[in-house]
Amino acid sequence: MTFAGAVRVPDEDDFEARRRAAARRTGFGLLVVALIFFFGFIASRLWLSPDLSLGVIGAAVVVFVVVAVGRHLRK
Amino acid sequence: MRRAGMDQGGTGLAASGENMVGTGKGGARRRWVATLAAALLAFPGIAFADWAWNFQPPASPIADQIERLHELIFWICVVIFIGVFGTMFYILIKHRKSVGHQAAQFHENTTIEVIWTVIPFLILVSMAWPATKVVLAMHDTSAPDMTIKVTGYQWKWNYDYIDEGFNFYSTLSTTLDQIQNRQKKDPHYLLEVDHPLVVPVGEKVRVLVTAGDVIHSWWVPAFGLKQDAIPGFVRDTWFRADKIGTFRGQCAELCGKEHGFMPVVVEVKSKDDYATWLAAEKQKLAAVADDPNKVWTQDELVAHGKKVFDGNCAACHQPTGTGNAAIGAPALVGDKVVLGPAQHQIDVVLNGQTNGVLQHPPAGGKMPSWAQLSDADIASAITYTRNSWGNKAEQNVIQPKDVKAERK
Amino acid sequence: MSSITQPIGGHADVAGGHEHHPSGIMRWITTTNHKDIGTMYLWFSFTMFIVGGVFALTIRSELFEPGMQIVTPERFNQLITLHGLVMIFGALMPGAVGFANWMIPLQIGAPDMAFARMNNLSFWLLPPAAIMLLLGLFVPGGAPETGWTLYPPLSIQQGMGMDLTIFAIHIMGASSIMGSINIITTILNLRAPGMTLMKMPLFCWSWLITAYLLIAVMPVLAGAVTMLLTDRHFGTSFFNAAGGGDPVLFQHVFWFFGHPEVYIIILPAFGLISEVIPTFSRKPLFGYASMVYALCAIAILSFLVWAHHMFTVGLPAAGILFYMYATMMIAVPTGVKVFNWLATMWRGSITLEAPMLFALGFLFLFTTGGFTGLIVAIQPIDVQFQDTYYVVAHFHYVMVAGTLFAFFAATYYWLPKWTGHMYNETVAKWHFWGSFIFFNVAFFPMHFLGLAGMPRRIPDYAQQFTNWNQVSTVGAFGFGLSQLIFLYAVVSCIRGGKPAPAKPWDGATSLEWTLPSPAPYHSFPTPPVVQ
Repeated sequence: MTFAGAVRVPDEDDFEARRRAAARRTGFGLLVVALIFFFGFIASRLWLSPDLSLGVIGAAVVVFVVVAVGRHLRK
Repeated sequence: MRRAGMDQGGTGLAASGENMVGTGKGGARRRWVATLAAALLAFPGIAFADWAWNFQPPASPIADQIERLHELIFWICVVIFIGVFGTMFYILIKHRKSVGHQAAQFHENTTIEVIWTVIPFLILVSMAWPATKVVLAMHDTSAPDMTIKVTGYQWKWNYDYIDEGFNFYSTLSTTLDQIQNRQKKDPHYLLEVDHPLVVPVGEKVRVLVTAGDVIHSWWVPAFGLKQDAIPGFVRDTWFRADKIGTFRGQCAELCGKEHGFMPVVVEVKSKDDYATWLAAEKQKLAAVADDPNKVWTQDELVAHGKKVFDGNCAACHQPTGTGNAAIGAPALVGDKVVLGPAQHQIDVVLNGQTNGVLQHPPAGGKMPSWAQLSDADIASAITYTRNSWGNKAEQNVIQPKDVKAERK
Repeated sequence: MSSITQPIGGHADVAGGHEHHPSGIMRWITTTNHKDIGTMYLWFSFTMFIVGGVFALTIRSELFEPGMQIVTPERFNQLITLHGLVMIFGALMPGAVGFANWMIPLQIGAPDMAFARMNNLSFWLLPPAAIMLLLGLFVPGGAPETGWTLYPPLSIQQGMGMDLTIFAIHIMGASSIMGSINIITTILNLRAPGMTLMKMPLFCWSWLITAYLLIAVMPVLAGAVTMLLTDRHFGTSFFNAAGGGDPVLFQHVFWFFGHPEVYIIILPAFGLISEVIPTFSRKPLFGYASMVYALCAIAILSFLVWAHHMFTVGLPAAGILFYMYATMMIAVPTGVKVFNWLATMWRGSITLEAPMLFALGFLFLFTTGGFTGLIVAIQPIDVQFQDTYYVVAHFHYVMVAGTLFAFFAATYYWLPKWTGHMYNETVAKWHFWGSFIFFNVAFFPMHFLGLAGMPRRIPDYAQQFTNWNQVSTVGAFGFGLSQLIFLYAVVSCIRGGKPAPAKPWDGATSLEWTLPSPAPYHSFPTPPVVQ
């Protein structure tokens, strides 16, 4: 809730707030992934060929791990 | 690798059977002491079969290849093991603080890291090559001399000689008294059946494996053959026995209560003996073949029914018909299904049952369906339950045709 | 290395020493403190370890001689199922999460876990789940008789104990997923300034990878057991052969979860060992970067090898060859880790305190389990070993002598930091030697039993297997009793002992040793700066 001309929040609070927001984003992203795996998995069993769905999910997992960890390596 | 004294047939029990039986307290205590002593001494390869510690002697080319492959890889592992742990113990002795060793501070070395990534990889390739050859050999089911269909049931095997057009069930013949320690244990305790599979030596036998209820696994160690028996699927595999003898294995996939009590026994006979056996078997089957219209007497039914009951039903309902409450198998003595209308009891036997509710296959129930038994077998078993242990049912003679009428 | 600004004096094990904190039981129920939660996870894990151990000893007693003596065959099967589930989901996984909760914030300089209240929830889901699981023993029909793998159609036949088990798995899965989200978020977002990922202690790295594995596979397991549930009660036929379903499909799905699961259990142990060995060698970890890459390689390969648990279901030859080669490949990164640990010790200045003894025991026995793993990876050989005691021996070498020994090493390593007291070294050494010797007495003979052809999961056996079974039973009781020494060592360390300095191990380097012992209740309220 900031507006133009507001007093700048002190650095530390700013840091805390940004950190908490970042944590919330990461956590939410991971939760979505878990839910997609759960429902996507059952759905793909119902509607797609079983062999295909396992392959797709397996590949998605690998890409997800590589991207998620790789993105943070430089930090 | 040496092999502990295993006799022909891969069971090695002849010598051990005598001194291992008897379950008295004194015997148990003596064995404790003996075991402790042996554990303390822990010398390998003692020449008693009780200490069996290596593969059963192979009786087929595949089992032989597997054993050789295992020896190759085992010894490679032993060499690496000695190298790795030789180094570890060297470090532990030489680079201890207590011997005044100062710590170096290096923490990487690209060359050596590449070396110990590449060399293990090459060793693995050298293992994979012979393994691949065996995998391909095991999958070559072409050009069989004969075909047998093996079906796993809770808890017995059915062997169907497809080319000959007959089949039979093979169930454990060890008595309940032995299992519950009331009787001396046979040398082949738990590895004996009423009706073993019989095959000729030297012929390539294609085996079709499936199951009727849950997953089982048909395993004969001496043939290097283990194939899961999966309901709804027929898998094919093969073996060629190159020794005459009796070979014993067990179901290798947990399949419920009696999983430990459904052995596989294969008798390998010479070609002549096999032909004789085959002829005799066919004759026997022709003699007892079901004539659906034959009318049996009550005594005939009860006598045959006792055999069928003890072989199939007694595992849960007990030979005395007292049932086993722990697994939900009701007592048949005075049971209202057994004393009630025969038609209902036939239904239960044909279709199985859960908690008093009829379950038609495929839902499965605590009591499995026994539809695979012949009409005569079912009729006799039911007649037996209705006339035994003090039961006096109103309808006390069930004919095979009654069962046939109930089948869908 | 860091600057610490908070006052010293909080006691992790003294309730009521802080404002705004309920005391007594409410402290533990409402706590959002990562140390409290870590402590609860570890005690929960130990409790379940004892419960699962009692099951194991009952099994071993029944197998002391041929014939049925102690339990019925159906009870035996139930004990086997529960032993597996309790040890894996009750003891090993929560144990690893306990270490993560306690140590990750301390090692990366974070004030707490990222989602402190969710952390509380993920712990408190576990006790009800465990109760549901164990309740199966007391309902009609008993617990599932299927083994922990729950293969249908056998699992479709089971009574309501199966449903309880399915729900318990759902709850434990939810707990694991929440725990994992928390750990990943904490590691990615809450590191102290200057603590780059490639400077993180290897334990944090191992948990980062593990948590990703958990998020990828726990939903799959939950999906599989949900489908099992609908097959049982709602007339679907995912797995039911008689209704046109595919029982092998369940095995594919289960092991798609199950194989990464074994790495979920072993990777944190790798991380713990990578902390202990450098400390007691007084030398930096050799090949830090290659250790991280090896962890990643193992994690990725773990998704590609599941069907090696199904080498006898009748896969086509091409499938078998693929899974066999992929499985053998895992030996490469695992070998790299073992070599790196040895190179860390090489030319170090080694002392053999209890944590190091357990780490060496881990190295020796886990590697043995690795060799038998390589042997069973070869499909033709596995045909003889599948579902025999050889496999039982193999996975107890990697799970018990692997993960459990790593937990013991880590417990002795950090007990001074947790309690502020040094543990009794003599007692700890007794614990080590008891565990090490009796472990081998219990499990080494199982290799022989498997070779000779004894199937696993049987309540009674043919007589040629008698003697090794008796040796094994004696060893199992010895191993079980040795764990009472552990309990004594830990309890006496909590209750008192020589005061521990901030850094009791002169070779230790990571951030937690800059805090006083015991670690204050609130640590790093402002992040330390890492060079």
